[in-house]
Amino acid sequence: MSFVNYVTKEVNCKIVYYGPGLGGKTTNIQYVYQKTSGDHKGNMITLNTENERTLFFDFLPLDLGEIRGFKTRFHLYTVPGQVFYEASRKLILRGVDGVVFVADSQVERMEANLESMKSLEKNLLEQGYDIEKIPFVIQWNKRDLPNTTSVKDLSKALNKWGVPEFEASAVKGNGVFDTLKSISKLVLMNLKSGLN
Amino acid sequence: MNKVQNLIPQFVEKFFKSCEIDDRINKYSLFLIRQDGVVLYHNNKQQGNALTKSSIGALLGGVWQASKALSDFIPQTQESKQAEHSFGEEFRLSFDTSSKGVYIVPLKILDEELFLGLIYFDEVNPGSIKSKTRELALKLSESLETQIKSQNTHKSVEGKKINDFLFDDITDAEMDHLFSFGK
Repeated sequence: MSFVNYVTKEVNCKIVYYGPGLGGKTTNIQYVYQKTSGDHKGNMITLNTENERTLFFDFLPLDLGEIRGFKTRFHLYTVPGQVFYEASRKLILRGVDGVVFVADSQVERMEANLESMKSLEKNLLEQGYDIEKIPFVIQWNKRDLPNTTSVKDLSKALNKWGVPEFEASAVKGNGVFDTLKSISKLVLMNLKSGLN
Repeated sequence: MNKVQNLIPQFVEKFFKSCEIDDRINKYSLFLIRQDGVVLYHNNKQQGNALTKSSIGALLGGVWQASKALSDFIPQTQESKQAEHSFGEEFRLSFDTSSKGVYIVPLKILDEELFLGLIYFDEVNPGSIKSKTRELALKLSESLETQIKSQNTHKSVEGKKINDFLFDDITDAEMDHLFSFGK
């Protein structure tokens, strides 16, 4: 649920990185954190298990600067990817303004991608969102690895809506900011003034 | 987003400007957040910039949501629900030792739920400051409701309507400018 504060002239938006376990959601926002200068980022919060798997969520607040007199503040969240954390994923999707689906391009992860996409669609619907209407982009991550499914096949299997898609290697940083910029633009252009 | 949600920040600001918060709680970090963790007020008693406060807001929102989801597992009968309702019973969240902790109290403002969170330490009487926090939440809730009800007309800002988009069109150059913060 985006929030336009006319008192402070601030826009707050929530973007959630969704996808299968070990697909690179946390790596995406870690890269953003590393490459963002101090004034524009806050503390990155990670709620992990002992094995550094996301337990509840990762959170990174980003101050992007001003657009037409409004300070834009983005809150980036990741969900835990492992199948048994479904309840946590539902909670994190509450109030979401835009979704990045981080797919794992490796051939053997196709089933996990499909399962996660199905869970996203279902969980969004439960929260009252239509996946066809919410700002949504897909990232084909791990393109640098051997044994990847072709983008054409990934797209055919996972992007039936024809939303913007990006090739990436989050660990190297390729495609990370392109993805974030694209979802940010969609979210900002989807903001309602809420005034009469 | 509806009209009321847009008005809440200015009503909150008005309340905290005019209200004298009890020193026993005002010496600690006090936050008012929305359900999604966006901070509406903080009393600047905690070191750090606005973004650090955003992180605290996200954690307060997250811990509340997780606890609320867990509370769904508490068996409830129709009678117990009615009894809670008639006694005005609301959940509160407390994570504490005998002298320090985090305390969260919800406020229901029309359709929206807000949370008042207090992070305290070295406190000899935590029970008392929790009670003061609940009193403050009640006062705030009453003030917001009164202000919302008395707001019959709302001034137009830049002639935009509820369903108008805030930014009609954003150029790639504007996006490039927004993302020029990288190292």
